[in-house]
Amino acid sequence: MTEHTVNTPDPFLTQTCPACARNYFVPAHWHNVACPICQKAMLVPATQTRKMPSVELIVKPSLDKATIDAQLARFCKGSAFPFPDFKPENLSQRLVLVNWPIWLTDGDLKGAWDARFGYDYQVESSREQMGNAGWSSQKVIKTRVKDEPRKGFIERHYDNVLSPALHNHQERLSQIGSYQLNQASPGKAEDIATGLTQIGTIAPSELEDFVKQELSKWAAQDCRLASDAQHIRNFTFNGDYNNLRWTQALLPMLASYYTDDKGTRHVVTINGQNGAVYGQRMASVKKAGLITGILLAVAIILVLILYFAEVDFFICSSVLLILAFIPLIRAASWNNKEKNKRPPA
Amino acid sequence: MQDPNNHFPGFEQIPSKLEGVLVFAPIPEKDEAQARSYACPQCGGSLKFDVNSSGMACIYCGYLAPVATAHVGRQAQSFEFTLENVQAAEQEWETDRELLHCNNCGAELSYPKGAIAASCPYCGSNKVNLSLPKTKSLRPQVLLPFSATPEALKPRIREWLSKGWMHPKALKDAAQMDKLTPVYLPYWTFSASIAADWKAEVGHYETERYYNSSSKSYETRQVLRWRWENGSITHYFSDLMVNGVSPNRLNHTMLNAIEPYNLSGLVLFSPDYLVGMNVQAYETPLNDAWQSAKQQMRADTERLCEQDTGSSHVRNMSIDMSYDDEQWRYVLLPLYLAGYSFAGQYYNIMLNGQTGKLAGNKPVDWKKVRTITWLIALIPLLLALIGFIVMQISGNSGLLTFGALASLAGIVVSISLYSQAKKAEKLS
Repeated sequence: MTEHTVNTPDPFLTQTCPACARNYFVPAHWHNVACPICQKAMLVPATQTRKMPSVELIVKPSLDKATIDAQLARFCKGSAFPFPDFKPENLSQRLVLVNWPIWLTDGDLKGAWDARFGYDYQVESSREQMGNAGWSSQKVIKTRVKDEPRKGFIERHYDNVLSPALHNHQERLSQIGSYQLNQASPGKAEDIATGLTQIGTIAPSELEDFVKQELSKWAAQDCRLASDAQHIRNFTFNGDYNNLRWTQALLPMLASYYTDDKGTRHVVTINGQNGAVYGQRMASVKKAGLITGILLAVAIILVLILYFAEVDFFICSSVLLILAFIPLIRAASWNNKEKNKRPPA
Repeated sequence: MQDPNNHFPGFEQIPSKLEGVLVFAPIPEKDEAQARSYACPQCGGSLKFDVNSSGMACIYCGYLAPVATAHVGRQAQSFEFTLENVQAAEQEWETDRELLHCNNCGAELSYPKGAIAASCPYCGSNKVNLSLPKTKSLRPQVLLPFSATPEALKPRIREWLSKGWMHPKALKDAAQMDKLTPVYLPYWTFSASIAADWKAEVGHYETERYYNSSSKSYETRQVLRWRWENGSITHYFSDLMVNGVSPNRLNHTMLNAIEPYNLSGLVLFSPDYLVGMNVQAYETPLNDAWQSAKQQMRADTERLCEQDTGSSHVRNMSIDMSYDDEQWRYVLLPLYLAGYSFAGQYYNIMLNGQTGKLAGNKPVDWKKVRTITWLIALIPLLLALIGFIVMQISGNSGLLTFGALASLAGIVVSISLYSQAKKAEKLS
């Protein structure tokens, strides 16, 4: 696999990864692009060309190079028996921007609602103490909640209800953390052209129920505010959801990789906004084996010296032989732990 | 926006804090402080609450109608000590008198704060506005209706008058009885749960082995050993009752003597119950009554903590107590006030309007009491005197000893009888 080369800014091409089936919009002037998230195959033209959905908002990567390098250095530090390629400068050099999508829905809500609201109120209570001087009392103000039924009508417009566009949306967020959408700006072509744009796997039709639930949650909070209540429960809405309009927001993720002793690539992802790094930090079993071999050789030489010096060497030699295997055991247990982490989503 | 009219029965629109949202809340209960007419639908006469039938009755034509209410018992609504309630209880108490308007003759009547319902002294009409506090919680929400009838109580009073050797024999027949006046008395009831942590020096008897130098042997003895202990208790105080009438108006000792009232008979308040009755509003404000109830709770908590130690020897006890779920109710309880004249003097009687339990003042026949107490004291003395003479003559001291002991006993009995008579004069 070879890396992409930048030529001229052209429209996007729809490309797919034959290994993981992820689809991307790739700037037309990028060639020979490896799938940035699986790194198992080169992207190939998709059988079906897709049209990029309307991008309403883009969260631009807000990290400078020094911050990214510092984050990568922290990520690489402390790894057991790292591969020769597992270095912050290598990871930094191979970074690719992947914009990944999230659906934004605007819509109108109109209908009747019914809920039970909780209103805070204060009561006067007391705490009393009895000692040698008799009883003394101290006033205590406690806050309690009064539950009351409320009904009504709502007719409101809501903007930018968020819903996932990728099936592994939650997993990715759990790996690299969430994004602050209030730092997003209106989408521009030049912002998208600086990286790959992952194509969503969930269609709006699949999300309609989810979005209606979200709209209902927003409406519940508005009804609570309208009723001047502090708490809400059992909210039900009976009405229509109209004029649902779907657009996308793109979130920045930086993807890189390192290669192991067999040449397999391991992907590392970075949240383009907060800098959180995620990936498996595998240990080099080859390196650990080499150290174990050296230690074994040293141990054998020591045992021989002790043997010829006619020293009672049984315990000493046993300890040396066991110690020699520690690097190998450490590498195996480290890899076991890292493999429990799921690969970047 | 949909037409909200009649869309939510039992709800009314209230102001919304957000554009595009209409809010409806349950319609609050109508204020009962309105003029009500108690004219008989058959003859136009005045209706009154009739204890016998527990309904509204016309004394002229016999018309009878039930009172619209519901039995609630101890489940009756109670209130919390919200800042609003506490503040209202203090403010509303500052108003001394209120003006009531007679709907029948138009008279403006100035009533003391104490009056909740009244009949017009000019025309005798019961069509008088009820004067109720502005804060709903400070109006009686429940009451215990009269269930003991005057007819049933009168023979009981006669029987009570005839009881007791220390009262005049002629009392039963010669006493000039007044009619029984039904009065609804205000009571506060308080409930609360408490959690108390206690710490005290608790004494426990322990068996100790020691060397007795006089018997030159080891023996055992019980020694009280003190040690610091701690513990915690929780308790729920349910419906502690505090009388809401000033002690200047009614004798509280007599009132306590006719308790208890069984609150499981509570019914929802209806002004119908008050027609033709005297009703006293509270004179002891909520906060003062709550302090009285808390005093009772403190004493009980102290006792419960002492019990929790498991020993009867406790000293230096300290308690840290917190209240929770404090609730109160304002209830009206039934009482009959009566009195009678005897030998130119007037004596008071109170009867529990629910149970008919009776307490009152009764004259004491002091001549009779003095004669009997003197006899009880003197006869043994006389015996002792005879015993002394017998001893001088025959040397036998048996009768003297018996007489002396009997004299001592006689004096004790006499003093006891005298103090009983004093008490009976105040309260029987």
